Amino acid sequence: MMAKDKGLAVAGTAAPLPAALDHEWSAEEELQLFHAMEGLRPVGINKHFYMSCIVQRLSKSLNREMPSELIWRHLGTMYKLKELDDLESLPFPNEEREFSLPEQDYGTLQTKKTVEVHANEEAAEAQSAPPTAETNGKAPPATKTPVPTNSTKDGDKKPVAKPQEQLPKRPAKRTRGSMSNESISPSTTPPPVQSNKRRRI
Amino acid sequence: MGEVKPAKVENYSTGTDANTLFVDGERVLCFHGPLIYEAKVLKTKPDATPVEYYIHYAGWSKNWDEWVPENRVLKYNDDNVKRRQELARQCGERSKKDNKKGSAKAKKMEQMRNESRASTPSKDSNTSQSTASSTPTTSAGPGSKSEAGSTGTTTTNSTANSTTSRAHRKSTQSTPSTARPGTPSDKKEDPAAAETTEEEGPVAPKKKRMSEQRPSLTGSDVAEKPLPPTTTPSTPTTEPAPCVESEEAYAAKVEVKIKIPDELKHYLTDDWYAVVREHKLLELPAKVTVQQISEQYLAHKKSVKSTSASKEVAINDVLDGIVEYFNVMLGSQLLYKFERTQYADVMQKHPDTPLSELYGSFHLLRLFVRLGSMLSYSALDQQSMQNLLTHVQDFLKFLVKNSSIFFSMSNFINVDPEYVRNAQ
Repeated sequence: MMAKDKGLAVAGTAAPLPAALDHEWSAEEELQLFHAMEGLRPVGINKHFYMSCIVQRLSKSLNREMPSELIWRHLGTMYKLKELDDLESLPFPNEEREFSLPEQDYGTLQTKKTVEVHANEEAAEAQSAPPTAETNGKAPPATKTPVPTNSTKDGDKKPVAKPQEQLPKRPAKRTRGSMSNESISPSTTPPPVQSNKRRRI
Repeated sequence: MGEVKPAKVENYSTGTDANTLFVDGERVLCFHGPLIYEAKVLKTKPDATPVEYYIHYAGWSKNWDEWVPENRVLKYNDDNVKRRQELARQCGERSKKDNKKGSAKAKKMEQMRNESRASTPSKDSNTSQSTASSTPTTSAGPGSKSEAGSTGTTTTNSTANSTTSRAHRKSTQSTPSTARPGTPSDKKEDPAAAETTEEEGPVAPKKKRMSEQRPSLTGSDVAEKPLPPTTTPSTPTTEPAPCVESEEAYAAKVEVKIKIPDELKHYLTDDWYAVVREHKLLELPAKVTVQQISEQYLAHKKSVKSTSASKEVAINDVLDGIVEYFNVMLGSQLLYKFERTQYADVMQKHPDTPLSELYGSFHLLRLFVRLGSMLSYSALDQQSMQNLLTHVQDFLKFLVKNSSIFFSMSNFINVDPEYVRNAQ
C-alpha cells in the first residue's frame, strides 16, 4: 500500500491500479471532497497529515469509508501533484543547524551519563590490558557499576527504573516544604491574658 | 488593704495551722483571667506577703508557669470543680457582650507587664522543674483540648468577669482582673496571620495552550485557479500564498509538545554521548531503517483486532507523514556536527535513495525531539492535531516496547583517524 503511495507521489498522474481501488466519482462525492479539502491543501510536507484529516472529513460527510489511496488517485487525475509538491515551500524554517538535546529535558541525563562513564573509565584503566583484552575487560567493570556504558538488556532496564523513581520524589519534597507551616494545635495554645506580656518580653 | 488580707487568710486557715495552705506538688485549681484552670504547685514563697505559689497549668506549656498570689489558688475539691465548670459555662453565654472598660484595661496591663518582668529571674532557675512538668502536660492532653475550647469564649468577658469578681472578691481587687480579657484579642491575630501565609503558599496551576484552527481561504483560492490548462497563470498566484500563511502561522504559533517516554530519553542521551563525546558514528546504511520500522509498526497494528479499517488508513497516513518529515528535516536539523561528513558521503553514494531507507532508529528518535515545534506551523485544527499526537504517542510506545531491537549500542562504530581529521 505504501509503495502505491510512492508511485502516486512520483508519477503525479494515475498509474494502472488494481480493480479493487477503481471507483467512479459522482458529482456529489466530488463536491464533498472539495468541501473536505477546505483549508487543507494536500501538498508539501504536510500532505499526508492533511490527507488523513481530509479522509476523516469526507468519510464522515459521505458516511462511508474512503481510503486515502482512492483520493490521491482521483486528485491525480485533476492536478499535477508532483509539480505542486515542488512548488510548495516549507511552512517552517529549515536552515542547517546542529542537532542538540533540549537542556531542560536532557541536561540532568547528560550530566549523569558523563559522570557514570568517567567512573567506568577509571575502572577500565585499572585493568590496563592489551587492546583485545580491553574490549572484553570493559564488560566486567561496566556490569559492576549501576549504569554500564555498553548497555545490555539488564543495563537498559536499570536506568529505566531510576528516572521513574526520581520523578515522583520531587513533588514529595514540595509537599514536605508546604508541610513546614505547622498548624497550631490546641495543646500549644497558651492560656489567655498572660501570653501577650511574655511575648513582648 | 493590710487589714483586709489578714482577715482573708484567717478564713482559709480554719482547716490548718500552717503558714501555707498548699504544699509543693499539690494538685490545685487556679484562677487565670476569668476562668479557673486545673494546676499544680511547683514551689512556694512563704515569706512573701501575700504568700505566692509557682503554678504550672495542666495541659499548657511550661512557658506559662508563673508566681500566683494565694488568693488566686483554690483547693482541688468537688465544690471548686463545680465552680470551675459554672464559670466556663457563664463565659460561653456572655461572650457576645461588649467590653466597656478599655481605659481601665490599659492601666492594668502596664502593671501586669511589670509583674511579669519581675518573675523572669525566678523562671530561669526552674529549668529542672520545667523538665519534670512536661510529663503531666502530655498526660493531660484531653483536658487541654477542652480548655482550649473555652479559651475562644474569653475574648470579650469583661461583664462576666466583673460579675464573677464581685461574687468572690472585694471590689478593690476586682479592678486588676477586669483588664485581663483585653489581651486575648491580640493573640488571635497571630493565627490569622499564619493562615494568610498558608493561603499565599499554593500556586495557581498554569493553563496549557491548545492549538487553534487557522482556516486559510487563500489556500482554497489557489486550489481553484490551477484548473485552467495553462501553467503560466498559476505560478504567480502560488508564490504569495505560502509566504502569507507562513507569516500568519509564525505570528500565531502555538506550542505542540510531543512527550517522549523516559526510556527513549535515555537512548537519546546515549546517542549524544557516543557521537559528541566518544566520536563514534551510527553505521550506515542502518541495519533497521526508518522505513522498516514504520512497516513493522503498521504490521503490528494490523495484527491487533481492535484496529478498524478507518483507523488503519489513518495510521498509514500518519506514518507516511512522519517519514516525509524525516526526509526533509534530517539533513538540516537532525545531525550533530560530527556527522556532517558522513552525511555528505552517504548522499554521494546514494543520491536517489530516500533518507528513510538509509538512516535508522536513533535519528528517527531525534526527529520526535524537533517534531513538536515544526508541527505548530501546520494548519491542522485542534482536534486533528490531537488525533495526530495520539498516533505519534502510540508509535513511541511501540518503539519503547521494541527498544532492545531498535536501540542497540552495537549500531555505533568507531571511525578511522582520517575521518576525525576531516570532520574537525
